[in-house]
Amino acid sequence: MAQSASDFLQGPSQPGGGPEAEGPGVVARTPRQLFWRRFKEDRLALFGGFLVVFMITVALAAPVVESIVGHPYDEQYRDIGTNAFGSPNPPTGSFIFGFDDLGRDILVRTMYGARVSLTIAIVATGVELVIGVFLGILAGFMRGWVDTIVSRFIDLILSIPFLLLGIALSVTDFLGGGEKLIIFIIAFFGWPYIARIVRGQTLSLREAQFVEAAYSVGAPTRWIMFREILPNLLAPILIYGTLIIPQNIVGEAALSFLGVGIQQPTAAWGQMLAAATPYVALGKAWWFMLYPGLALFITVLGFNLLGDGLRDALDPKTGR
Amino acid sequence: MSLPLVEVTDLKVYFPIRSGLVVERHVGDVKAVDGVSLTIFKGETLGLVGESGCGKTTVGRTILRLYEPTSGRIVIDGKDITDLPERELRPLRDKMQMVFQDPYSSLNPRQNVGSIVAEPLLIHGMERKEVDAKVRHLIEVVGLPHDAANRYPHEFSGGQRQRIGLARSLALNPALIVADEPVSALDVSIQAQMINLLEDLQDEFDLTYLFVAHDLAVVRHISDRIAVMYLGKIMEIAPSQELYTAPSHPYTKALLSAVPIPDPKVERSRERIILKGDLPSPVNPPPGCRFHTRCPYVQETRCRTEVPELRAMKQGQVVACHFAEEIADGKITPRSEMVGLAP
Repeated sequence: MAQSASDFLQGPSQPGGGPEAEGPGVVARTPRQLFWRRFKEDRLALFGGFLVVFMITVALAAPVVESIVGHPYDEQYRDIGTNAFGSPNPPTGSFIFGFDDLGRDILVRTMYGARVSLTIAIVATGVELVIGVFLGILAGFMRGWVDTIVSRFIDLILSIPFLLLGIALSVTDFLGGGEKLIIFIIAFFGWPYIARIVRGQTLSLREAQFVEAAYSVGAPTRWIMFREILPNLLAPILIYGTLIIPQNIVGEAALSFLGVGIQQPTAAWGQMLAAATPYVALGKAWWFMLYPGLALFITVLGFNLLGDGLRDALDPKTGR
Repeated sequence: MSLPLVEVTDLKVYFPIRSGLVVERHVGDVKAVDGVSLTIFKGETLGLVGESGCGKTTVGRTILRLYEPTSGRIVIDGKDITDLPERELRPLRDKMQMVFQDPYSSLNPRQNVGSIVAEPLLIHGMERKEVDAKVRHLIEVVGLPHDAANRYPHEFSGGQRQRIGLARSLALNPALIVADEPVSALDVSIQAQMINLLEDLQDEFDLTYLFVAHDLAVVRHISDRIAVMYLGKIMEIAPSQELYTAPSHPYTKALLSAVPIPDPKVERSRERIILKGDLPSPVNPPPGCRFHTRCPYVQETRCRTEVPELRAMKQGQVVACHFAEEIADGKITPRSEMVGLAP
C-alpha cells in the first residue's frame, strides 16, 4: 500500500510546481533574506544605521580618547578652562571642543555622555519590551478579566504625569537615585505603549487557524503564546523597540536636564545642556551647548532613521 | 464496517448572543447544532454535507472539542470526552486530528515546514532524534519534496500547503481525522490529487474520516456514508450510493437536483426543485420540521407542529421526515410552483 501511495504521489506532485520545478532565476528566499534585500536598498536606513554604529563607537572609545588627550572627564582645569569671570573658555590646543563651566574637557565629557545615554536608553527599552510584550500577550490571549486588569492598569499609568513623578522621586531615596532611577521612570512609563501594540496584534493572531491547529494537537497555553504567537510579533517588537530608543534618549536627557538621576561628576548630555543654558542665554560659550546637543541630535536621528528603515523592510505593506 | 469509533448523541452547540453597552445581557442563542446524533465506524469515511451555515463545521469542531458542546454526549473510542477538562483532554488529542480548510492561515508563517510537522510530536514528548526521522518520513508520505523541511510555508502552493497540514495531522498516528472542507480552497485539478491522497493514507494508516464539505461530487467520491444537515439538524444519513440514487428526504432531493449534469440536452430538460427563500435564522428556527418553510412536499399541520425524528428506512438509510415513505411511493408530489426547469 505504501508503494502505491508513493507511486501516485511522485507523479502529480512534480508538475504541480514543487520548489525544484521553479524556473531558473527564481530562488526561494526566507523572510530574513527578503528583509535584508529590502533593507540594503534603503539608503536613509543605512545612513541611520551608520550614525548608530558611530555613536556606539564613540561611547566605547570614550576612555581611549580620554587617555590619548590626557584629560580625565572629571578633571577641572580652572586656570586655563575658565576666564576671570568664571565662564568657560573656547576650544584651544588639545581641548578641541572647549571647556565647560568647571573647566572640564567637553570632548571627553560628551563622549562619556554617550555611554550614559545609550546604556540607559537600551536597558530601559529592554525592560519595557520584556514587561510590555509579556503583559500584552497575556492580555490579548487570555482576554476576559486578565485583559481588563492589564488594560485598566495601562490607562492608570498613562494618566500619571511623567516629569512630575520623575522630579518627585528624585528628591526621595528611591532606588538610590542615579541611573537606576532614570531607567525605572522611563521603563515604567514606556511599557504600556508596547503592551497595547502587542495586545492588539495578539488579539488578531489568536484567531488565526494555525493557533487553532496547535490547540487541536494538544499544545498547552504557554506553548501557543510563546512558540506560535510570539514569533509572529517579532517584526512589530523590533520596529517599535528601535523607534522607542530615541524617545528614551530624549526622555533621559529631559530628566537629567531637570537634575533628576545622573549626578555630578558623571557626564550626561541633558545635564551638560542644563549647565550651558545660562551662558548661552547671554550669548556666550556656544561650544558648551553645541557638542552635547549635536551628539543628542545625531543619536536620535540615527535611531529614528534605522527604525523607519526596519519598519519598511520588515513590513512593506505599511509605511510609505 | 466494524466498531463505532465516534458516537455523538443529541449534541447541541449554542453560541450565546450578548448585547448591552455596559452590562452584557444574554439575549439569545445561535443554535448552530441542535440535537445531532451520529455514529462513525472505524475505518469508514462519513461525509457531512449541507449548505453554508447549517452547522456542519461546528459538528466537526465540537467532536474535537475545539468548541464546547452545550449539551449532548461525545464518545470517542469508548471514552466520553464531553466534559473532560482541557488538561485531561490534551493527552487524548493525539487520537483525533483536524485538517483545516484554509491552507494559508493554518500554517504558522514564521515556522519552517519541519518544525510545523514536528510540533505535535514535541508537544507529546517525543525525543528530538526520533522526531527528525519521523518528520522526514511524514514529508515523504504526503508527497512533498525532500528538502521541504527547511522551507517556509509561503514557498509552497495551496495544494502543497494542504499536504503540509496533512503531514501535521498524521504525525501523532490519529484514529480519527476531521477534514473541514479540506479541498474547497484548492483548484479543481489539485482537488482530485488531494482526495486520492486522503484515500491512500486512509488505507495505509487505518484512518477514519469525518469529511465535512459542501461539494456533493467530492463527498460522493470519498464517502462510505453521507449525513445531510440542515439548520443544525441531520435530515438524512445513508450509504453514499443510496443517497445519490434514491434520496429519501425532500431536502436531499433538492440538494441533488441542484447539481448540474454535464450533458446540455439532459440538463436543459431536467426538472429541478428550486428552494425558495433564504435559510431561516438559526437564532429562531422554525417549529416542527426545520425544513417545512421551504419544503416542496410540505403537508398540513404535522410538518409544522411535530419535529420528525430520525428513523430507519430500507437499505441502511435513516431519514428525518414524516412522509418519507409516501414521497418514495409517489403518493405525495411536490407543489408545482416549486418545481421548474433548470435556469
